[in-house]
Amino acid sequence: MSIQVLTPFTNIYVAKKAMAPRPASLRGLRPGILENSKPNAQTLMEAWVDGLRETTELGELTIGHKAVTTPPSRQTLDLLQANCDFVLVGTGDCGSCMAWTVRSAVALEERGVPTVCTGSHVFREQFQLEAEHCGMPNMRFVFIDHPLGGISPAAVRAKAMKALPDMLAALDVP
Amino acid sequence: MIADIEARPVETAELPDDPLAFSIEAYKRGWTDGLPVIPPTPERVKAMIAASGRDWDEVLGVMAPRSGVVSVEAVAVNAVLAGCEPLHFPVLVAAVEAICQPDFNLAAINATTHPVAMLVLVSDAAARAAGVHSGAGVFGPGFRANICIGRALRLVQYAVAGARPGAGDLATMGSPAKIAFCAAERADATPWEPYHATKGLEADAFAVTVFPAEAPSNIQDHASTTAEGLMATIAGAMGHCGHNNIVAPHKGHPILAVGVEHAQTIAASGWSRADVQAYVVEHAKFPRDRLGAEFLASLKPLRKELPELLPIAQTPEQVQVFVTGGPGKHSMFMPTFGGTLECTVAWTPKSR
Repeated sequence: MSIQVLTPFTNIYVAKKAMAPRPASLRGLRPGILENSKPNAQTLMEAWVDGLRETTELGELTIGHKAVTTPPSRQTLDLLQANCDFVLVGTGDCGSCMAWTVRSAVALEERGVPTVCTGSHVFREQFQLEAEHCGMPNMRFVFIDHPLGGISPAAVRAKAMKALPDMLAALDVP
Repeated sequence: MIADIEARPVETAELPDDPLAFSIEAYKRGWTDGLPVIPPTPERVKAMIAASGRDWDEVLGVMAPRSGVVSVEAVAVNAVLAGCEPLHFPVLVAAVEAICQPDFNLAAINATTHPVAMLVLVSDAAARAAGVHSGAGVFGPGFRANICIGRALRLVQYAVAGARPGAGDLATMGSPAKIAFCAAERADATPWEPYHATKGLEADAFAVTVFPAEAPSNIQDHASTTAEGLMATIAGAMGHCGHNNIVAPHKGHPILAVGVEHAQTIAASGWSRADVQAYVVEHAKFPRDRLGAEFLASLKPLRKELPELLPIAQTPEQVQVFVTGGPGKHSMFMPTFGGTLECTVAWTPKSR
């Protein structure tokens, strides 16, 4: 015998959002970093910018700061939008920082700034789901081997260099 | 934004009518937390919705991470599953509205590896109407309204928000407080104004506040006879390291659930709630030099300075204080997640 019941699930509401146009080349572009104050986050993203500079001439770096689990301020978004041609956002090496890394990147993309979301590989699937639910399923990601916290700056830079090809690919550099 | 969002009717399904077979099948479909569930028949769901006086398709919010549209009907289905009775439903609807407020920061709450739970604190008037318990054993088992409302809020998170352990809810270890966490304040025994009055509501308001709280940690003091003595114990227990409030004291709202006897002792010394809050800010601190250099270095970007004694809050208003529980000389401390605030929702009951 069976019984008819109502199911507990509901429809979802996702407003599709357009990503910023990607640059044809990195040459001369001004990099940006939006770091979320997680240990080693800024070190990681600065290592990537340094790595990019080894092969490509880049403009001045601008660094914006935000808290781990909350959105960046309007002033921080204004700063990065005004001074950067692309921005690395991160780092998501835990759950809540992952969520607000994605949401911060969405905010910059909507302002016309190409971004790359960065995180550690154990949260790869959640990054993708978060981006889809934020209406930006094609967001660009680069992942390093987990963990990022609790390791030396040298180990951070080594992880960044290992993932540098992924960063170039995420920036859509031919 | 909510005005532009449509809530579609939930779907129907055929499941076995045997109680155990129904619960097992519902579990396989991802509807439950593993405990048995009540079949949400159309009649039961309809009765639940009617108790709220709300329309079935009223949208209460959009819940991260799944971006699920949470309607009154969807909440009612989960309420039936969790074992709620219609008299519980207005409290649950208000709790859902509370966690959908931006300040609650559901995207972070559900994604975090931190074991944050949702403590539903019910005002006295609403608790009397719904049968929410405020006395002995208030945070534990034994009280249908407390357990069913708390559990239903978690099931809404499962189904609508998509916050399942390991996928959507990324808590490293989770917490038993995530199963069900609902209580009422001891309005008959608090020496201070009701908690909800601190949010600008009348003392007899129908209201809930949902806190982003860790599971409670006990503070026992059977000896102190003055506020000064007792608060030294309480602040000493709150000022330990390892919780989020000591990492980010500028934004967290740590919670102190004061036991009735402790509250009487504190009030007998002439202390107000504000005195308790101020004492916690001044004395709930951890010695900086007992922390390791690497951890301290990680705090520097978050703070202008690292004083010798690290506080868990910077202003008295951050410290949330209410009175609950039964006889005994115990209070409880609940650190909070940090980048999220408690949210309060009040309503007018149908009978008024």
